[in-house]
Amino acid sequence: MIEYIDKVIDLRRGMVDDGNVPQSLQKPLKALESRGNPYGKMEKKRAEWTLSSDFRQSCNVRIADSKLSADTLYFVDSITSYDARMQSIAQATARVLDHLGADFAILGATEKDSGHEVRRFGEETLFTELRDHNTEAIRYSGAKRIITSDPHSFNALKNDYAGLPTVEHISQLIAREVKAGNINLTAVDDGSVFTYHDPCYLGRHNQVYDDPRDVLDSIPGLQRVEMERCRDRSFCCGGGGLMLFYEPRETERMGVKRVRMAAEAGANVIVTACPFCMVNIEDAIKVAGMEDRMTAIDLVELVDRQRVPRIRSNSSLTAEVSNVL
Amino acid sequence: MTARIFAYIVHKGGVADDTAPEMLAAAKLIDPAASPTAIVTGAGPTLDALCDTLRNSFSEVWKISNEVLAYPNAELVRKALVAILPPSSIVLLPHSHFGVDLGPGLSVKLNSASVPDVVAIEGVEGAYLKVVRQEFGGQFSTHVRCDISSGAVIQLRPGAFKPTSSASVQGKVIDKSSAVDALSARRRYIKTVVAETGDVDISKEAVLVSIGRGIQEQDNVAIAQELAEAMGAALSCSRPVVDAKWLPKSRQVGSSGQTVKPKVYIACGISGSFQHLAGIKGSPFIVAINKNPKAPIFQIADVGIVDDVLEFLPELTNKIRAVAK
Amino acid sequence: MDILVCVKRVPDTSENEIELNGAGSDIARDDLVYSVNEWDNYATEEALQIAEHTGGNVTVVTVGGEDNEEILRREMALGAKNGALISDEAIEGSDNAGIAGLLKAFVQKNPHDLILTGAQAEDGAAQVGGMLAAMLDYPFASLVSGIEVMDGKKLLVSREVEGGNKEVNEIDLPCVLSIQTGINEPRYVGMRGIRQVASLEIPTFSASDLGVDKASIGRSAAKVQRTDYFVPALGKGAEILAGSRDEIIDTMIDLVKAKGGLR
Repeated sequence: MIEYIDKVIDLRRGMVDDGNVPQSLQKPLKALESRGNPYGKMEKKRAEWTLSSDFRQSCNVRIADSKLSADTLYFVDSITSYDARMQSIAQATARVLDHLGADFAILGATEKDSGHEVRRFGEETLFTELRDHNTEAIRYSGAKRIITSDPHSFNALKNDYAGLPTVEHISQLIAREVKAGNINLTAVDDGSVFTYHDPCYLGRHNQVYDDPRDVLDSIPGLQRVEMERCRDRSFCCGGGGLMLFYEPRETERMGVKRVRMAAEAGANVIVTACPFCMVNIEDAIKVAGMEDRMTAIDLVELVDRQRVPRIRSNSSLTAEVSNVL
Repeated sequence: MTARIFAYIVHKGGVADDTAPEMLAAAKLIDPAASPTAIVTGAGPTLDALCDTLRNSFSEVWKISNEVLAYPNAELVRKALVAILPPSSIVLLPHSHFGVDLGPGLSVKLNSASVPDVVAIEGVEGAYLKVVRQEFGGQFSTHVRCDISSGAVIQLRPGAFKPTSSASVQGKVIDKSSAVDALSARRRYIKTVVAETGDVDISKEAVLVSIGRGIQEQDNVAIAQELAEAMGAALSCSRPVVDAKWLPKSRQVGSSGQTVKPKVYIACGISGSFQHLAGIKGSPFIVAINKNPKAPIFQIADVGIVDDVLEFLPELTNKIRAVAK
Repeated sequence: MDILVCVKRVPDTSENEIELNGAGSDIARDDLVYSVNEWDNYATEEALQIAEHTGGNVTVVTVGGEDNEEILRREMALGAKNGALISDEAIEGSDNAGIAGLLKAFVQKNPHDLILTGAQAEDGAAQVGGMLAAMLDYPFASLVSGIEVMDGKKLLVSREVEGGNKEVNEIDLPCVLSIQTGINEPRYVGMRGIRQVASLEIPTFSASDLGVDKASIGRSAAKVQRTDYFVPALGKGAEILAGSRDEIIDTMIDLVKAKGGLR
C-alpha cells in the first residue's frame, strides 16, 4: 500500500514556512493561534453547550479545575463545542456518560483545539503549542482515561500526543457497556433502514470498524445495510477538519457521492460517528435534494435517543425502567 | 461663535454633490446664526453655472477658477484653500474618498483640529465643538469634543445630516482666483479608469439580494445566487466579498463600489458599515438577515431577521419556489 | 527602495463580541485578543512585494506600549527587516495629530523613499497618513488600490473612488500612501516564523529620543478627545420578525411581495 498522506503534509509544511497558505485558511489558523479554536470564538464560551436550561435539567457537566478532578475526561474539541448543530452530539455524549455512571468532567475554557487538522495542514509549530497546552491541562485534571466523540480528536490524542492516559472513542465505550448489559436500548420499528458510514479517522486510520456496528446491531429491530464501500474501503465524506474553511474545486462533491451510495444500498438513515462527517453529510443531503428520503444521525445521538433512562434515587441503587415508549 | 464656517462643495461637471445641502444643515447645527460660505474649485463655464446655483442656498460663494483645478486633485485644492481661508476657520468636507484625501493634510497646514466621519453635531460649548462619531465598524458611538479655538476641518458622513428646507437666499459670488498663486503639486492626476459593469449592472436592478461576510465562504455564494434567481433579482455584495474575490467588483454596493437604487434590498450576512450603506439610495424596502442581533444593519433595515443566513436562505428559496408553482 | 510601514495594534472584533465597560469610558478589554490592523497588514504585504521587486528593506514602526512589540514581530515574521517601537508615558491620550507628529519625527531621523499606512483603523478616522504627509511636506494619496513603480523618482498609483472607478495619479517620491484592503493577498505568517523573530532586537524610542516636545503630545495637547463610548438609544430600527423560521419566512415573503420584490 502506498501511504501518501505524510508526503502531502511534508509539502504543506514547506509551503507554510514560505507563507504560502490559501487566504481562506489564514483566518481560521490565526484564530486557532489566538483563541484555540478555528472560529475565533471566546474561550469562555467553549463550555456554553453545558449551560442551556433544557440540557441542565437532564445532565450536569462538571468542569475539571484545581478543585475538581475526575476519573474520565470527555475531550470535546472545537467543532463539537462551538457549532450549534454539533453541540447536540456533546450533549448526547454527556447524557450517555452520565447514564453509564461515569465519573467524568470536561476541560471547559482550558481546552484548546486538539490541533489534528493544524498538523495536517503543515502548521507544525502551532500544532506543538496546542498539543503541549492540552497535554498539561489533561495531566492536571488527573483523569485516568479520555473519551471523545470526535475521531479527529481521537486520532490526535491517541497517535499525535504522548504521555496521556488511555484514549477511546465513545463508540468503543458504548459497545463494551452494551455487551455488559449496562445500557438497554429500545427498539426501532418505524421501517427505517440504517447504514453506518465509517469516518476515516475512526475506521481506516484506527481500525475501529466493529464497535459502532455492534452498537447498532444491539438495537432491537434495527435494519442495517452496508454500503459497497465500507470499512477499510469506506469513502470519505470530503470534510477533514479545516476543509470546512477551504473550498476545493470539485465537479461533484464527495459528500454527495457518499449520500447517493447510501441510497443505493437501500438506506434512508446514515449513521456516522464524527461531527465533520455529520456536517458534510447533512449538507450533501440538501445539495443532492434528498431531504425527503435521507437523514443523518450521529451514533451517540441515536444511542441517547433509544436508551432506556435510569431513574436516580437517593440510595446507591439505581432502578431501571424496563418498558419505556 | 465668531469663527467663520466654510463648506467645500464637491461637484461633477458643474452639478453639486448631494453633500452640499447636508453641509448646510450641519453648519446650522454648529452655529444656528451662521451663514456658511461655499467654496468651489474648478475651471470653465460649468464652474460659473455651479456658482450661480449655489447662490440660492449660500449667502457667499467663493470661487477659485484655475485650469489645473479642472480635476479636483486634493493636493492642489489644499494649496488653494490654504491661500484663501482666514485663520481659525471651520471647514466642512464630506467624509468621502475626496474628503479623506484632503481633510487631514488640510488641517495640518491650517494648524487646526481635524475630526473625520462625524455623524451628529451637538453644538459648541466654549472653545469646544461637540460631535458624535462611531468606532468598531459602527458598533459603538462616541462623544467627541474638538478644540476649535484655532479652527477645525470637519469631515461629515454623507447622508448623516438631513438637508433642511430654508428660504432661498440671494448670495453673492466672490472670485478668489487671483488670491491663489500658480499651483503645482508633486501628485498629478492622469486619468480615471471606469469600472467594468460586468455581466450585470446592479445600479439598474430593482431587486437585489446582497451578501456580506456572513456568507462565510465562496461555496455559499451559490446559496444566495439561488435565492436571487428564485426572486428574479440580481446578486450584489459588500466589500469583504470582493476583497476575498468571491464576486467581481462590479457587484459591490458601497462608497467605493456601485450606487444602487432598488425597490427591495435583501441584506444577507451584512453588518451594515456606513461605507456599504452609502451605496444604497432611494429608500428601498430593506430586509436584513444576520445572526448578530446587534449588527448595525438592523438600525436602518425595515424588517430584521436574526438567523444564520446559511440556514435561512435555502429554506426561503425553497418556499419561494413552492409558492411560485 | 526602502519602505516604512506605520502599523497599529487593534483589538480583534471580527466575531462582534465586544461590549462596553461599565463606565462607558472604553470597550471591555479583558477577553480581547489583539492583532495588526487589517489595513496595515495589507500595507506591509504591499511594501514587501515592492521591496522584493526593487530591492531594499521594509521597516515597520508603531506607537504604543510594550504589547505593541508583538505586532512588530508579526510583520517582521512576514518579512519586514526592521521594527521600531515609539513608546513614552507622555503619549497617553494623544489624538491622531499627536501620533502623526511622533511618526513625523521618526521619519525625519530615519528617511525613507516610501511611507505606507493602512487607509484606516478601528476608529475609522483615516487621518494619520494624510497628516503625516502634510507634516513632512510629502505628497499623499489615500485609498490606494494599486501601485506601480515607475522609476526611482515616482510611482503610478490608483485610488479607489466612487462607482468602483479608479483614479490614476503619478506621485513623486518620497511620498506617503494610505492603502486599501484587497490591494493584494497577504502571505501567511506561521508560528515558526514568529518564533524565529521572537528574540530579535526592537529599538524603542521615547519622545525625547525623537526630539519631540512632550507638551505637543498627550491628553493636554490633544485637540480632539473622545469623552465616552455609548450605544445610541436604538431608534425605530428594523421590525424584528418573531416566530418559527417557517412563520418568519412566510411573513417575509408577504412583505417583500407587497413591495414588488417578487416576480
